[in-house]
Amino acid sequence: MQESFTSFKDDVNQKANKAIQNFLGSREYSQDEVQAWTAQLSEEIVKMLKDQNSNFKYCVSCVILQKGDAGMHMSSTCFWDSALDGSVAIKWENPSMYCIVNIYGIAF
Amino acid sequence: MQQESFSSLKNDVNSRAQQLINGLLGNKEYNQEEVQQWTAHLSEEIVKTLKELNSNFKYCVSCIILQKGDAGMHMSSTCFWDSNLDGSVAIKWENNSMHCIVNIYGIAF
Repeated sequence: MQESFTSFKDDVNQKANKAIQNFLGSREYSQDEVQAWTAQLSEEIVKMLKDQNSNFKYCVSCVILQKGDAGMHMSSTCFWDSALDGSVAIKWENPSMYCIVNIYGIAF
Repeated sequence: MQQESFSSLKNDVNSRAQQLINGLLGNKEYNQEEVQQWTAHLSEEIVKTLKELNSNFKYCVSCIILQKGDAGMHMSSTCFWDSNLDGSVAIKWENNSMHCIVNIYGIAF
């Protein structure tokens, strides 16, 4: 029987949270470096997911938003197999920025 | 028969999504009370149109609306998939009061 993404969702959540904390925890928003941070973080998270379970395809997006004077909202809709596929959304922050990571795991 | 790739649909996806964003947000101004509905509505509408275009793919659509203000924002995406069949489209749209960013991932199964 094919496994579902839900079976390892908690693990994914925990590992991704740790990855974000380790990477951004002590940093302050920096215009010059933030593009590199988002790219590195999403790559690191995909690598971690591949190692965890390579029977899924993964799409990971990483947003870093400076704390300032702007409102932001985000929604997601998916067309998939709800028995097998799934997603994790992580919202993290420190004093200078928010980091939002979306992970989609698709069975194939 | 060879399985089709998402790249073959990319242009169509792009133009349909742009049309939907413009249709929904074109004349609107960022509004704290309504924006959550807009993002949800937009991502649903886009998934519906993708299903109708080609139901041989699974789709994940995310929609961000960001008020124009004093905050910098950056976004990156990394995927682990079959690069021959799967693909994505990223759309960046704006008007005077807000930015709208839509990410569409199309996955063959």
